[in-house]
Amino acid sequence: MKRTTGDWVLAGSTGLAVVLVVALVACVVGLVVWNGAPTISVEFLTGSPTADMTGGGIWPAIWGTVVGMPLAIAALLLFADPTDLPQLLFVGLLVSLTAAQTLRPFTFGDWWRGVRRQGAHTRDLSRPPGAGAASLVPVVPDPPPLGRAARVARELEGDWFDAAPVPRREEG
Amino acid sequence: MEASDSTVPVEAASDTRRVSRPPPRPPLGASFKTPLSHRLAEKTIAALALVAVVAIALIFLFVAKEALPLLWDRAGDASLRLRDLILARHWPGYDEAVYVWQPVGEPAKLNVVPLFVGTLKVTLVTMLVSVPVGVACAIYVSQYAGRRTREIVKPTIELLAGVPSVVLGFFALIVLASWVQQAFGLTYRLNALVAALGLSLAVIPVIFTISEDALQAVPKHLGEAALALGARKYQTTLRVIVPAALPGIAAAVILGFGRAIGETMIVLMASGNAAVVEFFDPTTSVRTVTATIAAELGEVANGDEHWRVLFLLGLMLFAITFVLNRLGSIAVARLHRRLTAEEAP
Repeated sequence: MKRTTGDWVLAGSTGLAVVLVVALVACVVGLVVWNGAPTISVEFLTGSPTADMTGGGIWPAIWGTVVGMPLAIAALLLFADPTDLPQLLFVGLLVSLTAAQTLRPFTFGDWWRGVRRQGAHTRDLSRPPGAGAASLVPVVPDPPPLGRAARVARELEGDWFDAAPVPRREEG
Repeated sequence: MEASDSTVPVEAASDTRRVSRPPPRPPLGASFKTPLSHRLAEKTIAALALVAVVAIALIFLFVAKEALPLLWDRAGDASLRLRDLILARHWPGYDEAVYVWQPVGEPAKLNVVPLFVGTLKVTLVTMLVSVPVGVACAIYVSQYAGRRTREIVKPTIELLAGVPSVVLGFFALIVLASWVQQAFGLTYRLNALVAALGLSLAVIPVIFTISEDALQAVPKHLGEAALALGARKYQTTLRVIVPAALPGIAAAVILGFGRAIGETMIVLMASGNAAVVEFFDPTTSVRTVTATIAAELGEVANGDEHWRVLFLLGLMLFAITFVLNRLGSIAVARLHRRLTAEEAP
């Protein structure tokens, strides 16, 4: 396709935005990695702060973030004053919400994919493919065309996919 | 096969060779029972969704419960008058009536105007920066970028959405502030502009991701029809594809706005936090509503006037975001109706 000036202007200006943003991402990540990476060591990750928090490690902070937080909330729920019920309820809701968000991929992931793939359990088989609510699920491809004998048999039997009787053609 | 059959006229009445029909069977799906595990999972997901709604309602109730006693239950000889929250007042020692947020002064001056000026200024500059940049990135990636470029650029920008806001604030505080000060020769190193640029880093990936999805979702035949009629690529993009994706882009902007107005950490670190009432100059320091709540709520006496005003600020912020979201979704719906030409018979 022939590119004109307008194309170059649009592609150039939008491309410039992309370059700008990617450069900024590189700056942010670069700053953190460049200044942070050299200080990471086993001692830094597992030690406690020393010398008025100007030396040593950051294990307490990691512990507090990853492990201590749920424990703290659990302790709060166990030992709190019963008069704080509304607040506790709220904390509990937040915790269950977070837990649900975190666990979702592990619990329902495969199940959900299975339903999406087959479309078997949500599909209304009494309708033709692609009609009404059934069009919300992926459409199963049409079966291969029937042979003549099967077609006649099916006509005699009535169509499974239509509630109304199928009009039959007059055989010559 | 079926279609051609049904177009042939039926002569059922005169058909003597008709074979008697078996009694109608129930539709095939009727006898199928959804497995118990699936029904349980469905109920569980519905319950979780309900929990989210209930949690939001409870947050609102909790904030309102803390804020509203301000209206009828002000401690004793309190110097706080409700109109001082939003109107300028001539405080002793001042030359004129002023808007001032000075909660630890004596008397405490709790005027919310400076905070909302700060919030709106930062948000406005953020949106002015991040909407063009985010949408431009989306246009480039969805229309012009090759497959390889797209596979590099998209995850890179989405990586930005995963960077914790405290890291972005750190970047704005340490690096961006110096750049901006040197570039513009500013007096105040931390100001609304720096906060807005830092905030843009958080908002751009939101706008980019959703706009890009919207642009990709435009049916291919629209663009192909325009190209077939002789339009250039840029004409197709600007006059066909972008308008068709406009509802999605508008939704992206609304979400980005919500992120910008509610973001706390970046503005707390990079905005300077001085509650200056200055409407038009983005290079002065500002103190936003969110940063004020974050900075002061930990230091205030429970049940104090100051405490209640902080919750009131939260309530106002909540109301603003809620109203804007509603207006936004109404606008998006209207846009969608117009673009899909539903008025046509």
